[in-house]
Formats: sequence, C-alpha cells, structure tokens
Amino acid sequence: MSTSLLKCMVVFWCISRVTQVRHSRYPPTFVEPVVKKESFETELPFDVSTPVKAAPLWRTSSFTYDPLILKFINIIQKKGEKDLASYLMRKTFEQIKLRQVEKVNTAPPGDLPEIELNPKKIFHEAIENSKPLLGLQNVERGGRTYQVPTPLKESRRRFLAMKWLIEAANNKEPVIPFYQKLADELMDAYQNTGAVVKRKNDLHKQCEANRAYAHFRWW
Amino acid sequence: MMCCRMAASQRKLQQFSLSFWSYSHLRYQLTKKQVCRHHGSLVSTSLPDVDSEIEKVSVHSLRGKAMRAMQDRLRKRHPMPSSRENRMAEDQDWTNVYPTAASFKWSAVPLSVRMGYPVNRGIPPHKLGNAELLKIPNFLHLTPLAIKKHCAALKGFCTKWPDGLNTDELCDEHFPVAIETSDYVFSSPSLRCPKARLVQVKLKLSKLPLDKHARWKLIQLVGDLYNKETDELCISADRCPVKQQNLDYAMYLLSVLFHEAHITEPWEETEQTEEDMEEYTWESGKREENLMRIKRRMHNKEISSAEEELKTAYTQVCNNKETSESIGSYKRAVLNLFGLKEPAPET
Amino acid sequence: MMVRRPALEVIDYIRQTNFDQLAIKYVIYGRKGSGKTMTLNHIIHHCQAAGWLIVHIPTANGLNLKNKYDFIDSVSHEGMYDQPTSSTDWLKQFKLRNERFLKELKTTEKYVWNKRESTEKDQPLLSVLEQGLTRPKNATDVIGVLLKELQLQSYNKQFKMLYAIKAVNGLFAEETAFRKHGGYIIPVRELTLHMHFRNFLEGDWINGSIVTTVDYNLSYRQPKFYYTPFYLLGKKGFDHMDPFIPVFVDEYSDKEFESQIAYYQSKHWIQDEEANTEAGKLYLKKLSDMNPAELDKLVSWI
Repeated sequence: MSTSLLKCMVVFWCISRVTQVRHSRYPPTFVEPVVKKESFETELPFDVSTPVKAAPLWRTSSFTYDPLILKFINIIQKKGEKDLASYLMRKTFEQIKLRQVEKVNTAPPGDLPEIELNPKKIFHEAIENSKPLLGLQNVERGGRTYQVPTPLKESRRRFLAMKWLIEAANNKEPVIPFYQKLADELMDAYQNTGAVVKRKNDLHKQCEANRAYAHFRWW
Repeated sequence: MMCCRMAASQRKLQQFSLSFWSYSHLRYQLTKKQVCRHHGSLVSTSLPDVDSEIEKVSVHSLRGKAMRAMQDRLRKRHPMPSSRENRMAEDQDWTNVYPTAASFKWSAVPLSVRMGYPVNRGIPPHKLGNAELLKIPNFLHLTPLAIKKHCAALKGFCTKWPDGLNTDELCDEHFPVAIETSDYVFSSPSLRCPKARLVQVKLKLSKLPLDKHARWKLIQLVGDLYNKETDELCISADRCPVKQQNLDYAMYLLSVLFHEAHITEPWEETEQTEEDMEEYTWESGKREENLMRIKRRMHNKEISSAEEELKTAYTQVCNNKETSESIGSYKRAVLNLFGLKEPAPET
Repeated sequence: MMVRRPALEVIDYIRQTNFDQLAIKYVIYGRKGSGKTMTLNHIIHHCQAAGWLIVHIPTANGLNLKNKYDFIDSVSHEGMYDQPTSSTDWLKQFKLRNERFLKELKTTEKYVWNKRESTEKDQPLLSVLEQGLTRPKNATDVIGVLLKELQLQSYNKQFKMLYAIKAVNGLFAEETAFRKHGGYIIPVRELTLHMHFRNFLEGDWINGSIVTTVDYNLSYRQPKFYYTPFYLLGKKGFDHMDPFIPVFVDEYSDKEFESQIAYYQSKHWIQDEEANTEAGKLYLKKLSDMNPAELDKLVSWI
C-alpha cells in the first residue's frame, strides 16, 4: 500500500471521527447527509429508501467548512465562548496571510520564491508536522511506575498537536494578542521548527530512551 | 377502489359490534348474578364470541320453561334493526337531527369518520364508541340551512336599516360618536356581570369643530387617550356601578374637554417651549438665525424659492419618520440654497 | 483603491463651492459598515493633497467615552470640566498635520494663561499650541483659542480649511462615561472641549468645508434603531447643523462589489481556490449582503 493511500485513509478516518459514532441516536443503517450541491447532479437518483441522518448545524456546503478547523476552535474554546474562539481563529488566519503576503510583496522582483499563501493549507501542514508518532503511558510494575512507549491513536495524535500549539502560544508574552502568538506557532510548525516540533521530538527521544520498557505494554 | 373495500370492511365490523351490543343489552334481562358475571364483556373492544358466552351461563339458572324459551330466543339470533344512520332518508331535514349544539353521536352522523391514535401501524379507530370524537367541539348544528332558519326566526325582532347609510363612510359621517358597551349572559347566582358597566366612547378628532390651538390643547389634555395614527379619541368610563351612569359621565367628560380646549390661558402664550408643541415648525428654535447668517454672507436679503423649499423639507423631515424621499428633498433644498449641482446619476 | 460615489460626490460639491460663503456642512450617513469612515478619509485625503488646513476629530463620540478619569474643573469656565489628556492628544495630531499653517498664522490678541504665563499678540499660533502641550491644564483652553483664531482669520482668506468629524452625534449626546466621586455623571453639555468643537461646528467662518459622519454604532447608550441623521443627531443637533447636505453611503453596487473583489485578488488576499470561482464569489456576495465591512471580515481569513 502506498503511503499516499495510507494517508488518504487516515484522513478519511479522521474526518469520519468528527461525527458521533458511539452513543449515536441513529441506528447503523442511517447514512450521513449529503450537503454538496453538485452531488444532486452527479449522484442522482438517490436511494430514497435509505434513512438519512439530520445534517448537523455546523455542516455547510460552503468552502469555509473544514472539520479540522472546527475541531481546533473547540479546543481553543473556554467556558463555551465559541464566538470568541472562532474570532481568534479567524484573526490567526488573517495574521498568517498578512505575513505571507508581505513576504511576497517585499521579495525582490524576478526571483519570487515559492511561498504558500493559503492559511488553511499552512494550518493543515502545521498540524501534520506537530503530530507525535509515539507517546508514553504510565504502567505500574512491582511498585514502580514505568513510562512505556506506545503508539497513539490518530485522534490522540491530533489532539496532542493542537493542545501543544495552543499551550505554546499561551506560554509566550501576555501583552501580545493570542492570535499573533498562535500565528507565530503555526508558522514555526509549518516550517518544522519552533517549540511544538521540539516538544514532539523530545517526546520521540524519550520514547526511544524508554524502549527497554516496551515489553510492559502487554499487560 | 381501496376506499370502497375499506368502507365495506368497516360496515361489516360495525354490524358485528352492533349485534354484540344488542345481545349484551338483552342479557340485562337475565338474573342479576349472570349480569354481574358477564359485565366485563361490555367494555371489551374485541369482537364477542356470542356462542361461548351463552354456554358459559350456569346450568342451574336455566330453570323453567320461560328461561329455556329465552335461551332459544337467544340462540336464534334475530337480526337487529340497523343503526339510525343507515335508516336516514337522503332528503331528511338535518336541522332536526342536530337542532342545537350537541356532542358527537356516532349513530346520528352518517359519515365514516375516524379519529385517534393509530395503534400497531393501523388506521385511526372508527367513530363507533370513539371517545376522541366526543372531546372535540363540532359544528354539526351550524349548517348554512340552520343559520338561514335562525336568521329568518330573528328577523321579526329586527328594525329596518336606515336608508342612505349604505357604506361605513356614511355611517361615520352621520354618527361620528361611537359608543361601545357589552352585555354578558352567564349562569351564576347574580345576573349582573361587573364587566357590563364599562362604556367606551370613540370619535375622530377631525369631526369636532376645533381650531388649531383647541385641537393642540385637547390632545395635550387627553394624553394617551388620543391615537395619533387613527386620529381617534377613545374615552372609557367604568367608575360608576351602572352602565348608564358611566355613559353619562363619558359624555360629560367629552363636553368638558371640548369646552376646555377652546379656552386660552394667559400663560399658554408666554411660557410655551418647543417641547410642548405638537409638531416642529420652522419659526421655533434658531434656524432662522442660521439661515440669516448664511444669507448675510451671500448679500441676499429677499426670500428665495429655495428658502421656501427648505422650510417645507425641514418640517417634513422633523415631524415624520425619516425616509429616503424626505431626506432627499431636504438635500435638494439645501443644494439649491447654496447653488450646488447634484452629480448626474450613475449610468 | 476604489474611491466610491459618495466621496466623489462630496469632492465634487467642494469643487463647485463658492468659498466666499460660510462653510457648507455635509453629513455622511449610512448603515453599519457601509463605508462612512472610508468616505470621510477619502475626502480628508483630497483636501490634504490640495494643501488645506485639516481640523480633524477622529471620533467625536470617543471624546466622551475614552480616558474616563481624565477630567478637571475648568480653568476658564466655571461649573464645567476640562479634559487634559484627550486635549493634548488632539493637539499633538493637530500639530503634526498643520505645523506649516501654525507657524504662519499669528495671534490677534494677548492670551493670559495664568499669573506668570501668557502669549503676546502677533506670536505664531504654534506658541499657543506649545503652551497646551507643556501645560496640559491649559490644553482644552488652547483648543478653544486655536479654533477661535482659525475662525477669525478664515476671513483673511490665507488658507482653506476642512473640519472633519467622525460620529458627530457624540457632540450632541446626553451622557458620558465620566463619573465623578459620588456618582454624578458629567453630561456632555458640561465639557468645555465639546463646547469648543460645537461652537466651531456652527460654521461661522468662510473658505472651507465641514464634513461629518453620524454613526449609530458608536452612539453611547442610545437605542440603535435607525441610521438616519435626524434620529441620530436629535432635535438639538439637527438644529445646530441645519442647513446641511446629507450624503447617503449605500452598500456596494454590483459593479463596486466586482471591482472590490478584483482588488482583493490583485493583492493576493483571497487565497481559497473555491472562493476565487464564480460560485465562491456569489457565496461571498450573499453572505456579506454587499456590506463592505462584512465582506472585509469574510475575506480576511480565507
């Protein structure tokens, strides 16, 4: 299986995890709703007998819809202030775009380097770069606690990447607005540098160091 | 096709249950003991198995010739007379079936009505013994024919509508004062409803002979009683115990207000401010001063047409809700005053 | 850069104006986010480029909201209050803009600030301004003096002047955010700074124009129902301004929308591939309802 196909599958799985699976109020026969307008032209006729779930409120057919961004907003969110969280996210994207556009505009004419301007792509790449491959799990053996390296689930990897990015932004100077700090972090992670990537690598090193405990994983 | 079949099955069902009901009715003539024993079948909604019911009757109770004859009669299963709805003539007078408001009676309504919750993916239950149909109000007594009859009966008690009052406008013109009262009929120990004493007197202010000052003063005096949108004055009186007294009071109040409005007190002329006025006018405030300053600078003494236009536009904007038209006319007036030209509209 | 129709209209009026008359007042009004402030900025830019003297209040409403502990008993007007910090801030930006004129213009009389300090007759106005910057206590009075001098000297026709105010309804508001010890809320009519600006707004000077906006979004503690000038200015404010030329700023027209999108695209500001298609444009159009500020907000992050 090629890596790209594997990646595709992972992405598909990751997106499908956004909708509720466990404790769903729908029986397994229900299918997901289709929101894209084009599907009415390409996928007709629909099987009318198949029951369909109600479309969630946040699902739209617009190009602004991105499950990963919605997830990130939910993790930024505190005390149910989703408006504030989405505002911060929008401002972060604006900051990223500002910086990249500035680079393009100030670059000397002629040799324009390849600069990614789309903030959404930068965001996706930054999250991908911040995801750890392995994690550590505490296991108690003979009265001692060992930190055992374990592979992580995709959702856990995604969560850790987002959490680290937000924590790294929060650890910076308090006078600077949050969205600027977060934009800094995302740009760093996009270039595979910065505090979050370092943290990821540190975790990997720790896992490597603790490989002797790996056999504790079969408990 | 489907409907027909359904209707047929319904009829069959109905006949079955009908026969059951008639049998159970007969059985009341049996001994008290037996009645008690089979009472439960009266409320059952399933179709009865009459034969088994009869066999359940104790042997000891079947004593005597008369008893046995009854048993024979029961076994014979005489066909029962069909229900009333089936016996109704097509050209019957419906107003006799439902002369007044009455609750739904299945045997009196020749319609296959169904109502209620459909159990087990079925259809709603039939009207027969259906309590749901008893709960809802019906209008079976209010057929057009019944209403016509009713009106014909009432006609003898009515007086003739006066000639020449064919439209509402004419009514308003000849009878500007409208008096609203209510009578209440209800079953309580007292016949007198406390709400019946309320009297409302309504009239349009434009119908009263008022000059500008009197109109303004009347509006100031009545306050909330005057509705600016409909130009209507509404006086309601309920302080006296009897309707007539309240009516007299309301009319007295109206005449007092009318006469009071025509009196001009000496302080009214001197101490009136802009807030007291009904509507803003050009003369009040400092607009004249502003305009004079501008005109002095322009070395222009006479009143130009632009100035008149400005005055009307100003009162329009200030006294009505602002619209794009009123603001536009104000703008045009000011532009004319300063001799500016509006740019041509976009093509 | 797109200069929209209302700005061009006012600039056109200014070109037509006979400057021998008293200053003509313009009131720019419109819905929230429809570009009133941008219109005002375009007009200011036009006048600045033409070498006018600019008297600009960035937000009149901000004067009765910001620096809410910044008030002292007035030096010259009994029972009123000065705003030293706001006044010095305003003087700084005024100096930055109009230093050239302030050096040329001379005072017409002697101004005594206190027992020891005074400004003699025939001194440049800059020295008056410097007095306000060095002695913040006198800053509000300095503004009054400067405006009075400008008003008087406008009749000499040495310079042209633009008086630009954003959210002019702030000058005619009732309440402020200033609360004295004991709970007394200082009303706008007791602030000397507002009084000076209001007096200057009467337009008793020539060789210039007065361009203002009314802003319902910024009006303090006022129910926000309408955006129309009479509703926002109130009876008092309307009479003070009357006669003025109301200029309506509408939402984008189809053509303006198209050119604005093209502007964004030329600046690499819309990055989403789908947003750059026709369907994406339609989506932006419907979602922003052609409102400039809404469109800017939408486009900012995609």
